[in-house]
Parts: sequence; structure tokens; C-alpha cells
Amino acid sequence: MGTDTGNLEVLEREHEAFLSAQAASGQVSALDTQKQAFEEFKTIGFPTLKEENWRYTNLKSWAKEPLSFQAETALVPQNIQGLYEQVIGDLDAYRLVFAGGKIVEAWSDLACLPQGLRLTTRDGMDDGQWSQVIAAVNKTWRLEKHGMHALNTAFLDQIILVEVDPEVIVDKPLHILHLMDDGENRVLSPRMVLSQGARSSVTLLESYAGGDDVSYFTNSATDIFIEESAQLKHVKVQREGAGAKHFSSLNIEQATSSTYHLFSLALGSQILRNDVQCVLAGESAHCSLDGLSVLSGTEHVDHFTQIEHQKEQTTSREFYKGVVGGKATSSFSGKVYVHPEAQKTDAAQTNRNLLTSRQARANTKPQLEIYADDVKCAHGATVGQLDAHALFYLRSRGIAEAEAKRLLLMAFVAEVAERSLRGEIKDHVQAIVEKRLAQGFEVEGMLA
Amino acid sequence: MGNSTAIEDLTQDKYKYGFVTDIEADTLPPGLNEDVVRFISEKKGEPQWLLDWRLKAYKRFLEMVEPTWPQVHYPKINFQDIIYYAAPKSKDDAPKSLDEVDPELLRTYEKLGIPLHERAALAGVAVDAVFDSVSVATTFKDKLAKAGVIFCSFSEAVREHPELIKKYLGTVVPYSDNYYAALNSAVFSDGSFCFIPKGVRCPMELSTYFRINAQNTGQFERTLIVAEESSYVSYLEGCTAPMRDENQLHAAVVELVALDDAEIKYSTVQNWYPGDENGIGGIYNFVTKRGACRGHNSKISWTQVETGSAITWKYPSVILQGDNSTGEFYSVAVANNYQQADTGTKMIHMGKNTSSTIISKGISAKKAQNSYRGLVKIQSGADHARNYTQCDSLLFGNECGAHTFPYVEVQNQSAQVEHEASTSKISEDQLFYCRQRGIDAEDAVSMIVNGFCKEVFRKLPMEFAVEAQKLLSVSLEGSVG
Repeated sequence: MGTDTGNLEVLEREHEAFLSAQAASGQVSALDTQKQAFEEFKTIGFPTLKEENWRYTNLKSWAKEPLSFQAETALVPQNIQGLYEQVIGDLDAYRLVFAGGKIVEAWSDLACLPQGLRLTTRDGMDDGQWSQVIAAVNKTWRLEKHGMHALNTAFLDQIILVEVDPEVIVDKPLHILHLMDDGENRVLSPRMVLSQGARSSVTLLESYAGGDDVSYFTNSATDIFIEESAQLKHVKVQREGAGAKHFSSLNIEQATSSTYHLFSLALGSQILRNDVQCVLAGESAHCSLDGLSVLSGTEHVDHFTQIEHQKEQTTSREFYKGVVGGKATSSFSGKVYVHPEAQKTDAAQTNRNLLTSRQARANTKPQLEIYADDVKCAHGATVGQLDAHALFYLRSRGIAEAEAKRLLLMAFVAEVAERSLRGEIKDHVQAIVEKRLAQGFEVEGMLA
Repeated sequence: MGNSTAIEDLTQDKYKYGFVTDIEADTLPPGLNEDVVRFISEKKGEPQWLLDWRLKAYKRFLEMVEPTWPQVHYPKINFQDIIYYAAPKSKDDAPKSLDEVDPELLRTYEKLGIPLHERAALAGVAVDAVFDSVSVATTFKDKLAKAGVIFCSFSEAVREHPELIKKYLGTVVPYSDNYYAALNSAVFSDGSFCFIPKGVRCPMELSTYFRINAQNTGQFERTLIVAEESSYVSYLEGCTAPMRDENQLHAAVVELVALDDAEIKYSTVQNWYPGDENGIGGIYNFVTKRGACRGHNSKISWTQVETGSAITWKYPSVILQGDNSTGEFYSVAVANNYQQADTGTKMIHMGKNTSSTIISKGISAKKAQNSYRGLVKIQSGADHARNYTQCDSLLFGNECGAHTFPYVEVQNQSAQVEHEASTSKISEDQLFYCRQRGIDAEDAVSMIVNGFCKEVFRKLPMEFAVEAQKLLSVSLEGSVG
């Protein structure tokens, strides 16, 4: 079986140009890593449908495009003022804004961060910080490496290091925005490393947004390290345009008694694939991964998660829901892997899908791999349509059909945010979801 | 729990059915090539079209690669070390009745606790016993013939009913289906054929005992069951095998076809030699079983109790083509010591209002690995399809593994698909409760496990259910600790 390296000629040319641009601007410390990663990419290539983990997402036609990794002209932030304002909403937060892969200082709060929270970009890093980033980049995670991850490293450019000191409780959410509004076949490779000190607590909100008619690809990678008893609430909102493609690789390593909560909202995108790998490396660590997709048109979302229970008494919860309309496809793969030492593991996983149109598709693949005996693991998955009885009940109370369907849909989707979010962030997310459902999301006639 | 020594003692239970019958087998030297395929076909006096089919399968087999996706590990199989044909002697003057059967063979069955004539007479079961590769005894033929049911060995069916074989062979499991199915199609030695004509309810449960006997004999059985319109049949398959130290490959193919309003119930108790407590020896069981609900309102039900084999790789499936057709899969898979089981089912919904139920119970003990792997696919035309899946795993001992790999693919809005799975160890509370009432640990475990598997056992024909429960207790003796 040959490896699919897409349009390798273009990639090689792009990579060479990228490396010389890096060298020209004096950023040489990562050259070796970048070269190595590109070689690695050439041997593994793009993921294909033949790979078990990629059964439901096809990158083949995209990979053939002449991809471009550097902007010819920089995006002018003022041109996307409207998008920016829409994304920040009313949320009071510390902000860091990227437009087209470059920081927009005017919109970012880098200067007024609270004590104990540091955001450092590539240029500002000292040697210690840089080696920390490189170590994270080179770390081997258990989930098989694939081409997208290697490609991110090969074109490592836009790097951000987030550090939270021990004992620090950050008062407001940290909101990182990735905005994009141009670029034919442009590939962005954002990378974030978050290192959280013991007993600290922080809420991180990541928003990805873009215009409707642009066909860029975001290939992001994030590595998160959570120290003992620290707590991280992570909210990801992806509402990119219908032409956007997004691959995200999110790796989390948790120390003893730490807690990690993820809420991942997926709206839009031609192709969206979210890999989440959470390693419970310390005793009594807990993680919960929640997700919601609301899809229509020809959108495609693939949530791929793997939770590794490595130590005793670790617990995990997963709760993913999808509303799928139009000709959209929603896929969910969730693996819970329990190592032999991880006795007293408690893991539960749920995936529910609602199909609202004739041509909507849902795939679900909840998996358990268990090598310890004193465990409690369960998963459940369902695929169905709106409950005809519930609809009839509402109709019999004089509620119009469209409104009744909207109410039922809202009830279905609201559950995820209700479970995992609180306060301002919850309002922020709920508003986005409501808006999405209000904008031309129709439930086709049900099959009676 | 402090009774681990007692438990250790109990797990020393050796495979009770281990013995080798010494019958001079008419065998080919080990090895696989086109001539072997031709030899087998000629030996059986097969028509040209069947030989051609075998050769096509063999060619396809050569192009395929051995699958590595199952969650099982074993040394690479050398297909040249396998003997592809072994038939008990004196096949020219094959026995007409039980009295003519080689007494040694009969004794073998007796040792197995299934005295053929007795069982046949008492239980009203017709037995088409496959001993090595040639059928040696068939009973109740008359009664079945009166009802119009054809139940015979596969070779006989090729001779007597070539039109039926030609019509249905390979239509459910094509020779190109997978690696082992292709191998089987090329070199299958014998098997059973069963045909229930229109409107007939088969007057008795049909049963076959598969035995692997001559050393190093790969067993490549082929079973084909066709149920015509409005007919019903219940088919039982059970197996035990003698003890030996070399791994044996078993790559069977089972095809079921159910036409309008027909129902096929297929039950299996599989207790082949699982290898010793160190994981030496044991059968490799790589089986392709599939049924097609071709007709409206047809039904196919698989029930299996898998306690044997070193490695099991088996996914009895149902293709629900006809509207309102039903597929069922009930399974208990037990893996002890170094056994590895990767088993499950596929339910492919194509017709409208089709429904399927999957109940899978996996039990792992000692160092065993037990996986459930299943696919539920609702195709776009399958309006109002319904599936319910439940797979539970029970773990004994901290070195075993239990895995679940379900796939749900839905392409129709009106489908309703539910999947549930759980994994846990045997509850200490339940054990304590039983112990407190004076039930010893062994019985308590047996009771709890039987309760765990009850949903599946209930689906087995009565005499099979009894055997299955006994098997389960033997397989798991002393595994709790």
C-alpha cells in the first residue's frame, strides 16, 4: 500500500521556501525539528480511509490541491473587524487574537495579564521556555502519529506557550481567537503548549472562525500538561465557514488529582476532524470530554477521542451529541483504554445523534479496551430522529410544527452545555448554538 | 478475597475431552498448491464447475493478505504445513447405518458424552456427524425425507442436488469475501447441506458434530442451509476436540439463505481444545458465518456459546435484504488462560422495517483477551430500521482483557439504533451474599455467571442449554480470585 503524500512536489517546494523564510528571519532553533518532521511526513503521508482511525474522514481530494503554507499578503485585521466583534460577543476575558496566523496586538491583552499567567509567543521565549516547547512538540503520544501531526510540526511557525503558575486561580477566562478570511488552499499550522502548575485553575476558550467563501485549512496542534490538583476548563468553539477545513490534534497529560473538562462545539466546516487524546497519568485524575455538533449542508464532523487510564482510581466521562441535517455527516469515535495498573477505573461514555433529514449520516464507534479487572466501564450510543410522541404532545398544545421541532432540538442540544458549562461561558456558548439553530436549520418532514 | 488458593486448585481442571482416536486416515501430505485443490475435487468426484469455482477461489486467495486487524496474536500460520485432506478409511463402502460405523469412532463419541444413537433416539435429533472430513453417519434420514427436507453431507449434496448447490453456493459468502473464506472455498473438504422446501416446518432439530481428529489436519467445513418460503429449521452445531499440542487451523464457512417468511435458527456450542494453561496448543478458529434474509418477513437467528479454541475469530452476520426481516445474535464467549476471542456480528439493514437484536456476553479470566467487534449498518433505503445492541463483559483476574469495538453506521433518518456496553468484574457484593447463605465460592461464581448469560442461554434449544451451562462452569472453574 503506497503512502498518500498528496501533491508532494508542491509540499516540498513550500517547505523549502518556509525553511528559508524562517532562516532569513533568524528563527533557526527549530529547523532540525521541522526538517525531521517533514521527512517523517514523507514516510507516513496523509491519513487515508484505509486507516482504521480515519475510516470516516477523507482528506484525499484536499491533499491533491496545491497547498500553500505562507501568506502572500498579510491579512489586514481591520477588514475582519465585524467577524472579530461577533466572535468575542459580550464575554469578559483576557484575549489573544490571531488573524490569518499572525497576532493582532491591538486586540490582544498580552500586556495586562494577571500575575502568574503568561502568554509567550515564539519571539518572546527564553531558552528555557523554548526547550519546553520543543520537548512538548517531540513528545511521543501513544495514539499513532499521522501525517497531519507531522505536517504541523514541519511548518511550525505560529507558536504560543501558556504558563499558569502553581496556586494561581485565573479570575477571567483566557480567550484565544483564530480568525481567517482569505487564502485559497492556505494551510495554517497553529500550535499551543499549555503548562499548568499545581493547584492552579484556569478557563480557556478557543474560538476558530472564518468567512464563508474561503477554503483554508487549519491544522492545529495543542499539548496540555496539567500538574497535580490543577483544574482546566477548556472550551473550543469552531464555527468556520462552509469552505473551511480543520484538523485539530489535542493532547492532554494529567497528573495526580488534576481535572480537565473539555467542551467542544462544532458548527460549520466542510471537513472538521478533532482528535483528542487524554492521558490520565496520575492517580485520581479526572477528565470529562463533552461535545456538540450541529450540522447541515454538506458539513462533515469527525470527533475522535481516546482516553487512557494509566493509574488507579482515575475517572473519565464523555458526552457527545450531534444534530445532523442536510447531507451532513457526523462521526464519533471514542476509545477508553484501561492499562493493567489502572485498577478502580471508572469510565462512562455516551454518544447521541439526531438525524433531521433524509440524507444525513451518522457513524459512531465507541470502544473499550480494558486490561484491568476492577473497573467500571460503560458506553452507550444512539442514533434516531425526533420523538414523534413528544412532537405530537407539543402540537396538541397548539404549538406550530416548526416551533415544536425547534423546541425539541433546543432541548436536545442544550443538555450538553447545561452539563458541562457554567456562568458567562455557558451563556456565550448557548447564544452561539441558538443562533445556529435559528439560521436556516430545518428539520425535514419526518418519516412517519 | 482470601480463597485464591482454593481457586488455584480448581483452575487446574484439565480439558476433559482430550484423547486421540487412532484411525488410519487417508491423507494427503501437508502443503497447499493447485494440485491439492484438484486432488480434493477429484477425490470427491465433483463436477467441473465446482472445480473451476475452487480454482478461482484459490487464485483469489493467493492475491489476498492475511488479516491483522483482529485483536488476537498468534505465530504466523504456515499454510504449507497443513494437511488439506484426510478422510477416514473405507469410504468406498461407506456405512449405511450406525452398526456399520467403525466401533472406534463410536467409542470416541461415547467418550464425548454424546452417544450418537442414544442421543438421536432420545432427543429426536438427526445427526450428520462429520468426523475429520467425511461424513460417516447420518440418522433420521427417512423421517426428514418424508417431510421433504434434504439434510446430507455437502459432498452428497453436490452429487444428488447439484442444481441447488450451484444456485446457492457462494451467494452469501462469495469466495472472494475474505482470506479464510477464500481458503475454505478452495479446499473445503466436506460439510453439511440442508434444504427446507416451501411451507415445511422441519420436524426435528438438525444437529452436526464437528470433530477434528487426525493430527495436523486443517478442517475446512462448508455448511449451506436454504430455507424456502414459509419454512422453519433449527440447526445445532456443537464441537469438542481431542487434546494435542500443535495448533490447528479451522476455517469454516457457513451460509444461510432465508426466503419469504422463512426462519432459520442456528445454534452453536463450540468447545474445541483451547490450549493448556500455558497457552500451548489449541485450535485456531477462523470462521465466516453469514446469513441472508432474502425474503420479506424472514428471520435468521444466531446463538452461540464459545468456550473453546485458542483463538476465535468469528462474526456471524445477517444481511437483512427483505422488508420486515429480522436478525438476531445471541452470544456468550468465554476466554480463560491464554485464550483469545475476537467475536461479534454484523447486521446490515437494507430492507424497510428491518430489525435486529444483538446480545453479547463476554467473560475473560486469567490471561485471556476477549473482544466484541460488531457492525450495525443502516443503509439509506432501510426506512424504520431498528437495532438494539447490548454487550457486557465480565472480568476475572487482573491480567485479562475485555474489549469492545462496535461500529454503528446510519444512513437513514428514520432508523433507531441503540448500543449499550458495560464492563465490570464479578461483583463482590453478589459473591458475599451467596457465600453468606452457605453457597461455596465455586457454586456462587457459577450461579452469577449463569445469571449473567441467562439472556443468551434462554435462546438455546433445551438440551444445548444444559450442555452450555455445564461447559461454562467447567471453563471457568476457579477463575475467581
